[in-house]
Amino acid sequence: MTTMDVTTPPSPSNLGLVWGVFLAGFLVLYAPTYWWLIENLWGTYENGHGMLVFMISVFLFWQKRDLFLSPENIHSTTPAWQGFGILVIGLGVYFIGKIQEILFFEVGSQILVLLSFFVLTIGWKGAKKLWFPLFFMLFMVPLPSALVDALTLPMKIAVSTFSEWIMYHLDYPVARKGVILQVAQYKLLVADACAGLHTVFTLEAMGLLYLHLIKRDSFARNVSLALLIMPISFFANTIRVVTLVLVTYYFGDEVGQGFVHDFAGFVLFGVALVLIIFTDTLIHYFEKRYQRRKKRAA
Amino acid sequence: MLLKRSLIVLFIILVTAGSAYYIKAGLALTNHSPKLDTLLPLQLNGWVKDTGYKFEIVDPVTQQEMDKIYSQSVSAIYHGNNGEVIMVSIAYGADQRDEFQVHKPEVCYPAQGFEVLSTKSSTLATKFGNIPIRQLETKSDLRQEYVTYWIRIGDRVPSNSLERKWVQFEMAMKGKIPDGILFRVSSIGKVPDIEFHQQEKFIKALLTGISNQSRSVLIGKEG
Repeated sequence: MTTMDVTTPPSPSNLGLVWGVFLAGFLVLYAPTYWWLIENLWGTYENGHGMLVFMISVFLFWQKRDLFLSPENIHSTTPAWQGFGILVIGLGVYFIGKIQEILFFEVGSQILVLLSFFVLTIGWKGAKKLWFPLFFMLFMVPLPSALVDALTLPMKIAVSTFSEWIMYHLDYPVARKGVILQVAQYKLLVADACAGLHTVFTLEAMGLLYLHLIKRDSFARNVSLALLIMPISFFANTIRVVTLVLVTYYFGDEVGQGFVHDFAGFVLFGVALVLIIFTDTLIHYFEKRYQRRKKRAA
Repeated sequence: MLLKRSLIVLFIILVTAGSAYYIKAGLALTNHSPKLDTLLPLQLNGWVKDTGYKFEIVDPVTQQEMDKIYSQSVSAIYHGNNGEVIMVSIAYGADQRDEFQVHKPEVCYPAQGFEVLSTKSSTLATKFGNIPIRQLETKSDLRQEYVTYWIRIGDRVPSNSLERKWVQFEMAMKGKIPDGILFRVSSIGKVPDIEFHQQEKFIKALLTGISNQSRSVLIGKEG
């Protein structure tokens, strides 16, 4: 009674209606959330990646849409109560997040709610095939600011310190107090966006996406790449800070803070991404060599 | 069959979203702005307020950040009978829910170039109740600064972040948004024990020397 009959798949129009109802539910919960995100957070430098992650998530689900939109795939041996259970938990998280203005809960609850939709239609077996799009949505979730501060501050100080060291040894008149760099008569604040945990996050997201798309299956490679993204991001951010300090020193404050500022960010992000892909290719190369050696020895 | 499931899901969602909106719409800010400028008296038992000093925040970026979370803030310097100098700072935020939390000194001081040498949680026993306080030893190239602070959320001073979340939740259930205060006392010196002791003496003198209403702004309900 609670499992679904495997022999009679739903008709396509019926299935369309079913997903229509699910979509309506999803919109009731999250349309205001997304509206708020677009208006407030996703335009900012700190959380701008949210929009990108959202679009990529939609794409990832669309790529696998057969799994839940094709009638022949709709069967599940998972008892309905499990699906409803996840829904209730997800809605509980949503409820608390909504009332307490905890964005982390409100946005994060989506993943549980979506998961419950899948468990109710294609069961755990089917839902497992969608693990990556669901997991990827995590990168959209804004972290609580207290946590971000705690994690970002050491990064910011490290990037500031390293940047100062580099410039000092290149004989520039530079000094540092905390995360404030003084060069000639200019004072520059290494803000969250500059040393961002946010950059680390975005790069992690992109790196993992890259791995997923080219179907690298080695667990070791996935883990080592995920770890390497941290230092890559650190170096990328340092280069960016040094570049901006140099631009400000030679061309003044306005140039440093204007277009060049954002442009430098994008260029840097691109460079970091290329570095990641390059690192992965390198790891792949050495891994293949190691495997060939093993075969020859065996 | 599947349609039935989806409609049940929709129903549960509507109930959840509806109640969330209902409760959220009913939430009201608690406090009518407390008068912070007059909260710190000119004289206390053993201490005199310095009327000549003017505090300024020079960096507009910092000012912007602070304006986002603090509705009001006030600072003062007090001189003790034996030449001690204490700096007091009170920052008030009308909405102390997650996105708007006061910034703790453990985060603010390092960002301004101070090194935090140690942090300690402690309790200050006063005749108005025990106040959970945090004590920091910090150092910059120019000086060593010792800081004692607490954060009031709603009607009390929570001892840890779990308790703070509980206060927020409790008040939400009553339909209120908690306001909050960051109360900070600091002094410059060489010996931590002496500085912290003086700060505690000052805090006790302050709490005794102000009106009940002012005191509740600082520490909430007594007991």
